[in-house]
Amino acid sequence: MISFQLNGEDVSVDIPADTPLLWVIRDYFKLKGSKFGCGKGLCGACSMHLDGDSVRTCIHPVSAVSGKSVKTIEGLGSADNLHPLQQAWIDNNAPQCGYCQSGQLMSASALLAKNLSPSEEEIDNAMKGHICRCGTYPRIKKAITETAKALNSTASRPVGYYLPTENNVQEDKGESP
Amino acid sequence: MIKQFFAYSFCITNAIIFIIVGIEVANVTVEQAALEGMTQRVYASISYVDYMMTATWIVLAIAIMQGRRDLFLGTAWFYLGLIVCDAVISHFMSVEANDPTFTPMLLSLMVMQSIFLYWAIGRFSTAPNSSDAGAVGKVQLSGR
Repeated sequence: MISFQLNGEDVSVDIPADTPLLWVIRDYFKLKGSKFGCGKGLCGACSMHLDGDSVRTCIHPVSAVSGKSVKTIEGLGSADNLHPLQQAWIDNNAPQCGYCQSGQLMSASALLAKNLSPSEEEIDNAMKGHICRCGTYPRIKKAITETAKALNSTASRPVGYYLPTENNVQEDKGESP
Repeated sequence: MIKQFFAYSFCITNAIIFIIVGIEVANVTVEQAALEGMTQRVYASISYVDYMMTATWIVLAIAIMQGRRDLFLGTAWFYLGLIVCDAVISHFMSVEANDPTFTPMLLSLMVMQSIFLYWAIGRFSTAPNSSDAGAVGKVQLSGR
């Protein structure tokens, strides 16, 4: 039995330990927002948050998340309270087909949770490895930049969105291939 | 008469099915896309294919009504092209949505419709004096 936190709720699954997290989330918990792309951790479509870091779940065994906190696109915002990035995604018309967007959103939100003023280079580094066949990279970058600017303005900072502190700032663990 | 009624009913039923499916998939919003990772634009594109298929079934019904074999045949081939495209896209969508039943259901519908089109095309009269590629006035669905 493997227990972890999924989108803020404690969950347990009895499943082979080497099952990729993506399939546990999609097949067992029926959260289909995270997509299967390459199955080798190369495209980023399956990205989720693991203790705040963006990880490629198609190559991440479920046993490795025991006792940890997993967040999927479904846990990022709600209909009443969209995550600022989700709003920026909509405002900038970022997705085309939309297949890669959940992974892109998760990595972008992980970046902004750690660094509210990312440089262009930092955005590129955080988002590299996310493949968008529609080629919407400029819009995605613009959405991230606009969100960072908006979050830096105290007036527009949404309730519950936290600024980086010594506790939650972690170095990028380089989980992305 | 019964065969004609069946043919019209089949066409209208299919038109209704596809317009319902088209409206349903077009209802996926950009907010849903951002919140649930749904591929909204793909759904929106599929809705246009569904509307086109609705139109072709209406044209097929009109072709039967007017006994126009050529129109029926051309529209039937056009429809088959559309539904093959729809089946391919829908297969990928069913993989995305983890719905293994969707593709077999669509293929079953496709087979049923193909059998109907094959049956219906054979019911058009091929009398030599017809004005439209052999059709004589109204379609002769009870002719064979």
